[in-house]
This record gives sequence, C-alpha cells and structure tokens, in this order.
Amino acid sequence: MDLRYDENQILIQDQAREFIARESPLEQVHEWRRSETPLPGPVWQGMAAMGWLGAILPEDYGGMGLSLTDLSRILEEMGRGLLPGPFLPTLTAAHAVLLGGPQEMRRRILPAVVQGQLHLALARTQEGGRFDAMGGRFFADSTEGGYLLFGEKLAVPGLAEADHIVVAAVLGLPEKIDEGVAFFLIDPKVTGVVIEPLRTLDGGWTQASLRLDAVRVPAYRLLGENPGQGPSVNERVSALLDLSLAFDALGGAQHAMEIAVEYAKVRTAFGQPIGSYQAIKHKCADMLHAVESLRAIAMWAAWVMDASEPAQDATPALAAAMVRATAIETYDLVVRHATQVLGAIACTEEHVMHLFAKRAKTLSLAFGPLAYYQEIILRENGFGISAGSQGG
Amino acid sequence: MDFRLTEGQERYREAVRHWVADNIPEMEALPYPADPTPEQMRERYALWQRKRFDFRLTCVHWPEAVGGAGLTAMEHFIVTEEIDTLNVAPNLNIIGFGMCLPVILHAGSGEQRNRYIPAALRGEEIWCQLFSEPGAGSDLAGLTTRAEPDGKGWRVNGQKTWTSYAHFADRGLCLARSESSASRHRGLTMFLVDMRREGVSVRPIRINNGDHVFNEVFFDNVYVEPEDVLGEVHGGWKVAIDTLMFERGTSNIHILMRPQIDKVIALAKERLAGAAPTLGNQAARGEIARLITRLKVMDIQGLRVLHGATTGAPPGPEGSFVKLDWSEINQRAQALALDLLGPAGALLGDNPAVPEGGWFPKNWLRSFANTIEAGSSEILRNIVSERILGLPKDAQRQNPNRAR
Ligand SMILES: Cc1cc2nc3c(=O)[nH]c(=O)nc-3n(C[C@H](O)[C@H](O)[C@H](O)COP(=O)(O)OP(=O)(O)OC[C@H]3O[C@@H](n4cnc5c(N)ncnc54)[C@H](O)[C@@H]3O)c2cc1C
Repeated sequence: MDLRYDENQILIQDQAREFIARESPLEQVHEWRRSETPLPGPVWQGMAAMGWLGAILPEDYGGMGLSLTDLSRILEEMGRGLLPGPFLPTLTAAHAVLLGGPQEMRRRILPAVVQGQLHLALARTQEGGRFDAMGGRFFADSTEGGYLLFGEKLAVPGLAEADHIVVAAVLGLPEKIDEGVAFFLIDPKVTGVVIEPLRTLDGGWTQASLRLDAVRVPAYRLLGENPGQGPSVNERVSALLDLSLAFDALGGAQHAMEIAVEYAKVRTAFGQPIGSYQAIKHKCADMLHAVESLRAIAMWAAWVMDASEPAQDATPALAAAMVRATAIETYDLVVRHATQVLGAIACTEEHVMHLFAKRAKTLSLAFGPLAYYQEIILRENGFGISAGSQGG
Repeated sequence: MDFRLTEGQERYREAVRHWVADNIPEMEALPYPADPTPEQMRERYALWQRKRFDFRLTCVHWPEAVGGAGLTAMEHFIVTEEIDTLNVAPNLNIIGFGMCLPVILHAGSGEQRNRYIPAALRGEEIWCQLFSEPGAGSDLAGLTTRAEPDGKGWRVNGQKTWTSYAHFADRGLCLARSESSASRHRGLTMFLVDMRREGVSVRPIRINNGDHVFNEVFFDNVYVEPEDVLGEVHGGWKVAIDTLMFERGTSNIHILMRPQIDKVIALAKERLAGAAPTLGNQAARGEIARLITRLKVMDIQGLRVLHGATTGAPPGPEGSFVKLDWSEINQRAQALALDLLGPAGALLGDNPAVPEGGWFPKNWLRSFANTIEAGSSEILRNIVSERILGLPKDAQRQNPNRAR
C-alpha cells in the first residue's frame, strides 16, 4: 500500500499550478467571466504544449499515455483555478473516439486534439429524469449505409466552439430502447444539425442546445465495433467524466475553503479574529473534513479505474458514483460555509466566491442530481430495483 | 498510488482466516448464555484472549519481547478486521489494548512494559482509563483527584467517573494532581493503579439503554508504588495527550464499529432491495447510499492513518476525521434502522414480533454517546480548526493554563 502521489505526479501538479497561475490567474478568470470572454486561444495552445490535451491518450496519437491518477493532478489544479474552456468536453469526447472509433477516425481526430487544433463536445446525458445515455432523446435509425439521427438536448458543454460532436444516441426506434446506446461522431456543419448558443450561470463552459433533424451519418462514424456495443464505451466514458468532475470539485472546494480560512484569521469582530469564534471555526473544520473526505475517495476512485485488475470491493461504476455523490455534496457545503464565514463581501459580484458557487452548482446540475448517483450506489450494492417493480 | 495490501499481507490475512476457521468451532461449542453474568463474560474473554496470545494473534504490531509479533500496524489492522469484528468473546480490554497499554509501551520503563504488557496480552489483566471526573470532562486539566507522596510511594484520593470497564478492570491508568500549586497542566502525574487495592471502590452507572458500560470510581487513600508512575512525576499531561493520540491513531475503533453498522445495512437490504423508489422510501434510499459512501470514505481515512503510522509520517488530521466519521455515521445508521423498522423499532423483549429482541432500539440509544466519548465532536472540531487550519484559539481559552 502506498497512499502518496509519486514524484512525477507531484511534478505534474506543480507545473499545472504554475501554468494556471501564470496564464489564467483567478483575477483574470473573474474578468473573463464578467465580460463573457471565452478562454483565449493562446491559453488553449499552452495547454496543448503542456501535453494536457493528450494526457491520457496513447503515445501512438501523440498523447502522453498517463494514468487517471496522473491526470487527476492536472484536473484538481484546473478546478482550483476555475480554468475556463472546453477541456473536460474535449477530454471525454476524445476518449470516446479512442475507445470506440475506427482506426481511420482515431488517426484523423486524436493527434489534432493533442495539438490543440480541435475542440470536441460530448452530448451524452439527457434531461428528463434519466441521466444515463439510455434515457436518450437522440435516436439513431438504421438506413442504407448508415444512420439517421433525431432528437434534441438542451445544454451541451463546449458545443458552441466544438469542431466535432460525440453524440450518444439510442439505436433503433424508441420502443427498442434496450438495444442500447451508441456514440456517433458528428460534424456540426452538416445539414440538420442545429446549434444554438446559450448564456450560462457559470461561464466556465460555453453551453449550447443541440437539435438533430434527420442528420444522415455514415456507418463509419459510429463508435463501437458493432451497434449495441455502446454501453462499454459509455460506461468508461461516464466513469472518466464523473472522476474528472470530482477532481474539479475537489480543487475548487479546497480553494474556496482556503479563501475563507485565511479571512477568518485576519477579519476581526468584537475585538477578536472571527476564526476564534467557534461558530466560525467549526464551519472551517467541517469544510476541511468534507474536502479531505472527497480527497480520500477521489484518490481511491482514480486508483480503482486505473487498476488493470478489478478491485476487490468496487466496480469502476460504483467508484465513479460514490466519488460524484461525494463531490456534489462537498462542493455545495463548502461554498455555503465559505460564504457564511466571509460575510457580505462574499455576496458581492466583486468577490470570487460566487464563481465557486456557480461552478459547484453547474457541476451538480449538468450530469444528474445526487439521487441519480445514489441509485447507482444502491444498485451496485445489491439494493437494485427488481424488474417487477420497475417504473414505480 | 496503491491501495492493495502487499502479497505478504494478503497471505497473512489468509493465514489469519484459516486460524479463525479452525478455532471458532471450539469456542462456539462452549456454553455461553445470551445474557451472561460478568463472571461468564470474564471467563470467555480470558479463554479467547489466551488462545489468541498463544498464537501471537493479538496486538501483533507490538515487539515480540512483550508478547506481540513484531509486525506492523497494517497486520494489526488485518487481525482487527478478521478476528475482533467477529465478537467471539466480549471485548473487555478494549480500553487497555487501544489506549493504556500502547502508552505504557510508548512512555513506560522497560520494567513497566515487561510487568504489564504480557499479562494483559495473556488475558490475565484488564485495564481501564481513569481520566474523566465529575468536574473535568473535555476540560481534563480541571481534574482534582490528588496524589500525595507518603514517604515511600503515593496516596491517591478523589473520584473518577464514566470509567468504562472499571467493573472488570485489574488495573487503571490514572491521571491525578500531584502538585496543587503549579499551573493546571504542569502539576499532573500519570499512575498505573492496582484496582484491587484497598480504598478503591467501583460503583456502576447505567448507560441510557440500561446496560452497565461505565462506572464511578472512588479512591480513598489508595497506595501506589513509586515505580508505578508512568513517565515523569508532574509530567502526566504529556502522557495523557499521547494516550489520546493512540485513541485516534491505531486503536481501530472504526473497524470495531463495523459489525453494528453492517447490521443496519443488512436490515436496509432486507427492507429496500428490489423495491422501486417511492415517496415512502426515497429518503431512506438516499440515506443508505450516503451511509455506504461515507463508510468507504472512513475506511480510506483509516488507511491513511495507518499508512502514516507505518511510514513514520507525523500524524495528520485523518485521525480526528475517522473519529468524527465513525461516531456520526453510527448515529445516523442506528437512527435509520429504527425508521426502517417502523413501530417495531420501539419494542423490546423476547418476542417473535420484536426484531432481534430489541437490539436495534437499545443500540440506537447507546449510539447517542458516540459523539461524546473518546473526544466530543466539538473538541475534535476545535482541534482540527486550531491545529490543522491554524485558526486562533477560542477567546475564552487563550490562556493555556486555563483549559485543555
Ligand atoms: C460511553 C462513554 C464511555 C466513556 N469512557 C470513559 C473512560 O473509560 N474513561 C474516561 O476517563 N472517560 C470516559 N468517558 C468520558 C468522556 O471522556 C467525557 O464524557 C468527555 O471527555 C466529555 O466530557 P463531559 O462528558 O464531562 O462533557 P463536558 O466536557 O462537560 O462537555 C459538555 C458539552 O460541552 C461541549 N464542550 C466542552 N468544552 C468545549 C469547548 N471548549 N468548546 C466547545 N464545546 C465544548 C462538549 O463537546 C459537550 O458537547 C466516557 C464517556 C462516555 C459517554
């Protein structure tokens, strides 16, 4: 057992923190958000130069072939710095291409992603109560030489600037929903694709709505060797997404807590630093407890997903759901407590705390509510819903 | 990053499991009533503990010279998981093995170690911790039990309270004021007290569910030998702090709590598995998912503590988090159990309509003390915020001579 990050991982994290402090300091992020300015191209290019866009892609495609634990060092720093831009959408969509795309597609897309030439978006989760890809509002109908895609989705992160979209669609007509879900790589410029940019609460990701109106997609744009093979790609992409969101939350929550704790040491009221009052210091202790709890389970979940052999006590799906559930609750608790510790100043637009609050809420709204992840946790622990009682 | 045990540790776990499988049937064959007398409890404890000692399967992380197996905290953790959670015999010396004896090993003289540790490991002696007093709980340094030199050794007078297992204990780790003029923290001395001595009387206190867990202990001019001072004379505060560190370090209490939490999860599975989420069970489903997740977090925090202990890193905040976790998780779990049982959760007694003879409500009551015993949640939050986050001490406690 070794529960420390190795030297290389510490180095990766240090470099990420330096890069973000230099290229995207928090005051700058604040300014970008205020003026609704997207992440400048040179910063994205810098991220590419750091190797981040290919962090977990194999060297064959120009990637660094890192583990998820390695990647987590970067993600935590991105969360800490509230780094804007479509990194997560690109990361997860590229991963879907890697896992399911035919060789030709991988060769065409992945090296360009690594070099920072392409932005990708992943249109996977759906609204309407089911947040897995099976709850799809995109449907793929077989037609000659390919598929016809229909459906719409309200908010897709990173879609506005995406050069390619990975869409999860249910194969076949709606009644054949259990045949499974598959991913397709779609060109946003083809006929029938309607994209409408939306303003967002957070401003970290751009969001846009996506409508597919009988979009003709050639068979070679299907990810996954056979129709119906989607779920394994789906499961793995979901787990990557959940883990990434959790590390983003961890970095952000840690930072929000630090801001509040530092303030509690210097702000005085009634002749004492407010941090000497227990109502305040216990909130600080609770923040640290929550953050360290998330850190513990996130470290473990990354390790479970990295392991070549399955862990004894958890599937990647369970680890992903547990880390997501913890992340949602932690980030929410921390921004609330931190705001309370800071007082009125935290409720101004000028202070950065609302940026963390918005990020926390966006992360928990974008990919399913707490209850959704709790049901996965129950299912993976033998509390599943039996077939007979489905639909209750 | 690697959460796996080493191959050697896995083999060790296997060996322990085999030993358990070989030795449990014999214990189970022995008559032992559901409602044992203290004598029967003591007899069973001693038998099982002796057997464990003979195979060096108790406190295996202690040196061989005192009866341990010279292994690491990790093997100790494995043994705790594999043997202690089975509750083959009542765990009467939990305070001794978790706190008193580790601090004797840490701060005691060679003679003290040899005199006390092997006897406890053989199951012959049970220990209790005599810290709290009616006027000194969280604020331990406010204690007033006195120890006075009597020419040869010491004479102890005063009262302790909440002393768990004092009704079984042969010996006690007792903090007393040895110098009344000095500052609150400086004039304290730690004594190893013989509980069978003349002048020691133990009076039971019933805990909220009616069980006999702790006691009041009165000292009336009790003689203590000079060689039974642990650490330095007037240096007892440091020993007390070390004792509490062990409590939150390698005592593995969170592992010992697992069987009762697992019982709630099993109950929940019986009631909820297979049922679709409905308005009636949604809250319970969310609660059980949260429970499972927090248990995983607690286990990992426990491993971080262990990892620190085996790599010699200075203890981090994890120990306090593990204590907050097991106490809060268990309270919520026991409350959830009653919600799941509905009206049957408020019934006691030996009747088929009463689940497990009323174990759940009794244990629910017992769990109230979890956030008070072994360092209250408030004190732990003070420790976390002051020692780890560096926040200033409470306005009222800034004078170090006035409080803990
Ligand atoms: C089941 C059980 C077993 C026990 N076994 C033993 C034993 O074997 N040996 C032994 O010596 N003791 C034992 N204790 C005693 C235990 O250590 C004390 O109960 C504990 O230290 C708290 O002290 P108290 O009960 O006097 O509460 P108090 O110290 O009076 O505290 C009352 C309340 O005030 C809060 N409080 C106190 N100080 C502060 C502060 N500075 N800031 C904020 N809040 C504060 C506490 O958190 C608590 O909520 C046991 C207790 C229990 C419940």
